[in-house]
Amino acid sequence: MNEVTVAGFRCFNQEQTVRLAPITVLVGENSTGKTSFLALLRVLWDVALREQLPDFKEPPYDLGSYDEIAHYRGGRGGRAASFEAGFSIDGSRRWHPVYPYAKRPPSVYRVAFRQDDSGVLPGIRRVENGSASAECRVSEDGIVSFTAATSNGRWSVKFGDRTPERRFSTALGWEGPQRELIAFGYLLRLFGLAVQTEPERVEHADGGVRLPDKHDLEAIRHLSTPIPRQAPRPFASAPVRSRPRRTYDPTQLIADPEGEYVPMFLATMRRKDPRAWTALKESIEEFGREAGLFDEIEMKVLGGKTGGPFQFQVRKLGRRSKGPHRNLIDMGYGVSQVLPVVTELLRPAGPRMFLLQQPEVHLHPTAQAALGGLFCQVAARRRRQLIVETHSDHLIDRIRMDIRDRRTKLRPDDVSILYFQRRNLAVTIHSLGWDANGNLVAKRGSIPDGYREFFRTERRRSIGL
Amino acid sequence: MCLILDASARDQVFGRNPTAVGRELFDWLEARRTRLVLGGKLTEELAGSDSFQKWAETAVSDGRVRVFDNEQVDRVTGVLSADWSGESDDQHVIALAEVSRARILYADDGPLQNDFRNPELVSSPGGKLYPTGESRNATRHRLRLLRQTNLCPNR
Repeated sequence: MNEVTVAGFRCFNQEQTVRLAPITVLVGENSTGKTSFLALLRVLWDVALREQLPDFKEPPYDLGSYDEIAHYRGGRGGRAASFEAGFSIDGSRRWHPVYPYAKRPPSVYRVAFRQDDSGVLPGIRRVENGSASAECRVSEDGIVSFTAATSNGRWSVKFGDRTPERRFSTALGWEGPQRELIAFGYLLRLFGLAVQTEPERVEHADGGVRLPDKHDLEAIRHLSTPIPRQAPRPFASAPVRSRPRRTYDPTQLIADPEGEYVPMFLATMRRKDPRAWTALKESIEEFGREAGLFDEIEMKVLGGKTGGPFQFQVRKLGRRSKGPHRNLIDMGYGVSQVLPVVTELLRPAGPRMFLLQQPEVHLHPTAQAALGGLFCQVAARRRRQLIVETHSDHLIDRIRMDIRDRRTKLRPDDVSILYFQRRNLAVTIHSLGWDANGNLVAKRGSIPDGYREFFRTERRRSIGL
Repeated sequence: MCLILDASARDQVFGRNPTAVGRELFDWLEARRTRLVLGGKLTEELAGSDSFQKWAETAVSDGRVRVFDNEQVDRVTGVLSADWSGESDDQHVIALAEVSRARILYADDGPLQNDFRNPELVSSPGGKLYPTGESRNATRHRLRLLRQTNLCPNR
């Protein structure tokens, strides 16, 4: 995702668009909407790219019902009747009729959410790519108004108002709230079919007379999602992660935001794919050494039976002796807290996008800084996108210094700092960044006065000024 | 405006007992009405003060200080030193002015002040000294400098 737009959602009133980068850092005081922003990103991914119903209560987030989610303006303004959000994403490398060789413009997705008996639903969905766009609105009686446009005109068709289509929808289970999410790809094909077989159904939304030609239809057909639907969902971590256990009993592997599954995942990988395990183990140990947390990790299978209970052990090497293996539970809490995040970042075939809430919890500043270095490494070498909510200066400063000192391939533009600033009932998000010398720069306007106000006041007091 | 603070005047701003003008400058820095530029050897000299170091740590993160590439400043210092005609031995300060294009100097060092005003060393535009007097005229002059945004590097 390159940019995100939000309006009328939680504490965000006016429409605002912010820049996302390979590493995006969310900073600001508590209760300024950073976690809500992360939750929104995952919902947008689900709705726009996987065409799933939005779930604002899926862990690790719980934003409540519509009344808690839509922005409250206060007084007579009341609660927003709908809220909107959207994002842009780089175009795929697939052949495109309008941009066959040139760089394709990004695809822009917008969703207007509304309240329904069954919760929050995407009432209007819109996708744009260059001059082509398509919009889908679903009325309460289930009729889908589909509008498509290119530089040559704008056309609309209603679907679902004829018996065969209704039967088809029923057969596919598109009844109830699910009908809101009739796949865009399917609608795009239905539109093409309607133009060719039932042109009388196609209305000219801008008063034109000609039907879309084959070039228009090609451009409209290519509006379908540039991300494969089977692409892994963003990894969303919880701010408080699992409690370590002395012994793990192998159970079914079910991923959870607290990282409860991680020791089990590592044990399974060790058993089934020793080469991948060795590579991952080395990467995790490299981070452990850099962070001063541990030098080695190992699984001790109890009873000598493969697939039996096991213990997760770590070892810190001394100067002269290697030191004993110690159970994860006997180590400081920081080790078990950071392990799920580090494993997900480094494991092969992992997610491409990470939504991390305070990954620095329980970590000493040395380890917080090392985590910043790891983020740079993962974003640059593994081409992952990391959206990190953090209160750690050490983590942010390491990213800044690694970029300034060219210890990573990331460039200053590869990092976006989003500062969430509360003003009365609403929050403004400021897009900041760094220049090549590591100086803070505002991407739009100037650096807000309140930015790091607390740190400044405390430092001033600390040095007696 | 962007300002170079020489180590000779550092304690007037960041010392235990700052002067009234130093205190005023500090407030302006805090309010982002002016910005300090750092780079090269001058950074090391200023960092000799714990107070300054602690302040700068935070100020760099929140954009109250503009840091310039040390290598570039050192390179220009080397070039200046090869053919130096100034009164002081502060080529690194002149080099920072050249790299950063900051043209206001707060210093308590006569030879450096002369060098900074020497058009053969600092030009286009010429260097100016930050008035340290407490008279009404000096205050007016400082306020005038504060408004001169063209003395700030356009970055």
